[in-house]
Amino acid sequence: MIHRHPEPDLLVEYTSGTLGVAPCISVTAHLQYCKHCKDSVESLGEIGGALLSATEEVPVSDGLFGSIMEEVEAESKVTAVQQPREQCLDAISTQLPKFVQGLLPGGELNWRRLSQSLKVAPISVGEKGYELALHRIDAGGKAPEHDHHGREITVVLTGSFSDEDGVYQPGDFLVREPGDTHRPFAARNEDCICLSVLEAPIKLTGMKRILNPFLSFTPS
Amino acid sequence: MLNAEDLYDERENPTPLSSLSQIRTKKLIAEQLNQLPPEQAEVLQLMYFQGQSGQQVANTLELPLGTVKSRIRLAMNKMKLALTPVGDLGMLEGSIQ
Repeated sequence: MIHRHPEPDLLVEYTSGTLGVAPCISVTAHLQYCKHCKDSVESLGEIGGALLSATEEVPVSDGLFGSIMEEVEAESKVTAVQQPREQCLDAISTQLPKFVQGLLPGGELNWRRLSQSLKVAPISVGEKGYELALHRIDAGGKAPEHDHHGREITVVLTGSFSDEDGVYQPGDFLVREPGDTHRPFAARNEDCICLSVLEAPIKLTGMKRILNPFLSFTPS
Repeated sequence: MLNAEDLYDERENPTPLSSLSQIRTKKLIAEQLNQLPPEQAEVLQLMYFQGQSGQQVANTLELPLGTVKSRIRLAMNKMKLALTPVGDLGMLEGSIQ
């Protein structure tokens, strides 16, 4: 039973296409488990369509359709030369939803040990500003107590973990805001694997970014 | 590198019945949208048409982010009936009696 879902505003951002790549992936991962939110997303898509059809038509130039189609075709030519993705060979891959499997890098995952019972494997999505990763807590293991500098989204994929606020099962979607402190620990009977998205703790834009190149966030 | 389609869910192929219920839902949604209080409709307009995030809407309208979130939540609750499938509506009515 899933108890934690994305907030409605996050689902609206998801359907309107304004969500960043990594948070978008976390919502789609949740949808693999949650029929309720899947239906909501479907309905929100309808709302977007209804809003669109309610707007007045605006005249456009005759050549607009042609130029859009040219751009679409140019893009599809680039996609056509892409190589098929290499398959992830890590043993845990098969336990994960097909959607998540499709995101994993080819070969073995690059697991890095963060503590005695916590490991992390980064997933590259080519987006600065967010870190996307798989976290794995060994059965019965405890993650070190930590706080969050940026917003963190966690989606439980297999197993379960708990913290001071409750127990989280596959599909549960948790958002931790900066300043939140918690100490997760996995259930005794099996490892817990989560997909996590960490927002950059420091986000600089415009001139500040140019003036402070050493402060920019580099996802692993 | 990921493609845009890697980020979203695969859409299921519609059956004739689901297409019919979709047409019905679309009509209901359009009606419900017209009945939303202007401040709730405005938030949805900004998000869908201007491509603004919740935070950007808060900045545009000079409102706290919490207010924007609650307007979205209220709009969603108001439209819930429009979004409830036909079969569930019958069950809902039954449970009220």
